[in-house]
Amino acid sequence: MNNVLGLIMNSSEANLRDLTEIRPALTLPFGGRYRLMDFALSNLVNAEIKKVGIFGSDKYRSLIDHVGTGQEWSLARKNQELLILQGGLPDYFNKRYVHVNLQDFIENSGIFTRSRQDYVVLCASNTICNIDLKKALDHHIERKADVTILTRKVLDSTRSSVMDIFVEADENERIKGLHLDSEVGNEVSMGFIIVNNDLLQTCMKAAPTTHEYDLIRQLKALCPQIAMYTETFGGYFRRINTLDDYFKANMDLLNPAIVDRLLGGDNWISTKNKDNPPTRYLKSGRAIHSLIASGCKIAGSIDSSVLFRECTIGTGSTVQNSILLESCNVGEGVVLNYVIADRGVSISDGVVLQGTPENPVVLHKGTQI
Amino acid sequence: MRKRECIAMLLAGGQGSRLGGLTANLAKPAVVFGGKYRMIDFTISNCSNSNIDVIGVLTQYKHRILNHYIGSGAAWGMESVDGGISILPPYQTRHGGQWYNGTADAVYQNVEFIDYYDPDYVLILSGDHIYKMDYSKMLAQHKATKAEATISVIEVPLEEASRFGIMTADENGRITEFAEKPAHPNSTLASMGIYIFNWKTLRRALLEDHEKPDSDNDFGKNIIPTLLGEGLPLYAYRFEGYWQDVGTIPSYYECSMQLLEDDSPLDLYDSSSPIYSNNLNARPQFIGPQAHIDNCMICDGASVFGEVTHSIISNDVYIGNGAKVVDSILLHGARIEDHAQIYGAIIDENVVIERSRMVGSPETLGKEVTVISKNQVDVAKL
Repeated sequence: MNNVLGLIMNSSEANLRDLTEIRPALTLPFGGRYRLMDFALSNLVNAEIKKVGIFGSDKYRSLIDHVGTGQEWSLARKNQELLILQGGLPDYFNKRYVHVNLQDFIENSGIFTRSRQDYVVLCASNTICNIDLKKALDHHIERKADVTILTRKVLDSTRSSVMDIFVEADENERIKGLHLDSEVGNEVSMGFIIVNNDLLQTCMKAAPTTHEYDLIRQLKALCPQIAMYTETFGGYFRRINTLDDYFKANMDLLNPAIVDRLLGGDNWISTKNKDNPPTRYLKSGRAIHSLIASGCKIAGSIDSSVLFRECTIGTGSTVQNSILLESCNVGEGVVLNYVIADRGVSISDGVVLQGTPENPVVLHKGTQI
Repeated sequence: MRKRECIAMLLAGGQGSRLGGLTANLAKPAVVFGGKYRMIDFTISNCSNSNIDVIGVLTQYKHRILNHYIGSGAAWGMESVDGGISILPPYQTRHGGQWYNGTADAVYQNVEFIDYYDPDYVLILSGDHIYKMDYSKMLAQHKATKAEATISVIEVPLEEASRFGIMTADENGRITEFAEKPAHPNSTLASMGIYIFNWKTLRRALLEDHEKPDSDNDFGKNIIPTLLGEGLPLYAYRFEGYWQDVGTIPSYYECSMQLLEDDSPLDLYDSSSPIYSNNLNARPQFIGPQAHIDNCMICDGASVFGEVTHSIISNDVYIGNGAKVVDSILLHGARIEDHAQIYGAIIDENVVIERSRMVGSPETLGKEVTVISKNQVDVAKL
């Protein structure tokens, strides 16, 4: 797939209170050792795409620290590359939501004009899935499409987010219309869109004169004139826009069928590796029904929870239905139920924190209680 | 900058035949240890933590997995410009070729490699020892004593001393006597097989030793006694800390099980001297709804549905529903199917124990250890 450029957008609409206040959705920690963008990036790399650009945000540090030179995804090679792009502009412009901001592309126009890639895959950064993008690309090329939108069948017509693009397609998967403000259509976009580079160039050139900087709105207007198709995927999929989505998606990983399909298999999801020792369960340490990363020291008991790397759980503590991000330190005799603790949270002996499934307790990065 | 003050030559060609089936298909330094690690991780990480950035790894026996694992050395922070890890197997010349005949011969055959870096000192290491050591402290002593060679030693119980090369040293640490595996040891200072030599002296000694037809071309048996006989200043460097040469199945088993003690003598969690490894990009471990875990060490990629007590579970191990694992070590990719029972065993990489099968028994726990490898079963007394 030398003629494909992958681009990961900065989905800044995702709002997870304290968790996204300090970092973009791109680098939101997820599933014990991953960050959200690992899914988009690994899906691109697993489709043998050799050039990937990532739009940062105004908070770059965690992104650069996480991706490095792209070595974990085999992108730090002479014939493959990872680009950190300028832009990542806010999703709202004149109080209107912009799905894919062409201003970001114009800022980085060199990579489109210089590159020999005929196709561009645009990916939202806040999706959790493990899909065969190569199949979608092959199909796109085979039927000479201008645009392919990866979709899921709509099960109920409620709109979960302003990001949703509803798609009306005929029996040949040809798109008849895009619906951005209404819930018409039988399919909804997954946040992965394949666009021919030529068409993208045309849209970028048109933007300054028409003042339409949303690629999706331009495509909506062009719909009758261009070959626009859907490619429908089943399987596990979640888009993380809210804290509730985040909590549920982490808890989904406690289902062995989901964890193996999403994170196992041949198309694995890669992330930044760390040299942690194995996780140690001391004599009083117990765990059931949990996903636990390396480098933890567990002397208490863990139930139905996700623990990130290097967490320490003291004797007599119980952690239930909770998500502890990297390097959390839980003292002795602590009770945590429905708690999301950001990185480096430290909880003193005997503290009891009780949230609810609808409203978990969220502890800001580095909190000491 | 090509010139280095000190480079390391790491002996990794050993067969480790006393480890039974565990070394049937790979060199001993590549054997999995401590859950996620392979033995050689300890020595390479020690080099990395001691600012040694050139290592020649001398390989011979079954080196495919070892070579693949080491790769560029990037996993240990060794991918420096004009340095890093070079894998050095035996090679052919215009005059033919030959295997490495002994530890000293392996280094002799790579004199050109060492000369390329023009080092003042050469550190000789083994790739199959489990320990954490800062070699820069040993080098500092070597320079301070103006020694020609420094040998790292550790205190061993007198009854075990005849298994080792035993040093006798004066009050300044200068070695007065050296005996390889003596029947009646008169000291308890055992050589750890870790040497620092002045390269000029070692170079000369290797060339001379090569010309002696009856020499075993071995550091312990030949090079050290010869230099001592010449009256050169050889010093002992007393290492205090944990060091194990896990040469046999019982020692491998017991050394591994020590990691499960609450105050394990080998602290893998001390971040000031991390042990690096070529990490897999495996998912976090999955602990099933009916799993029971008691005093274990478990690695990424593992799935545990059954009951695991006092055991070490490596990467990508699967333990099925109703399965029971007690006092055992399961290496990478081992698969224990539903209702199988494992007592006091080492299950080699990627070995499958079929449904309801039993390995070992509750009665033999603590008395013997069973090793199940691909094509071999070994039972060793503890």
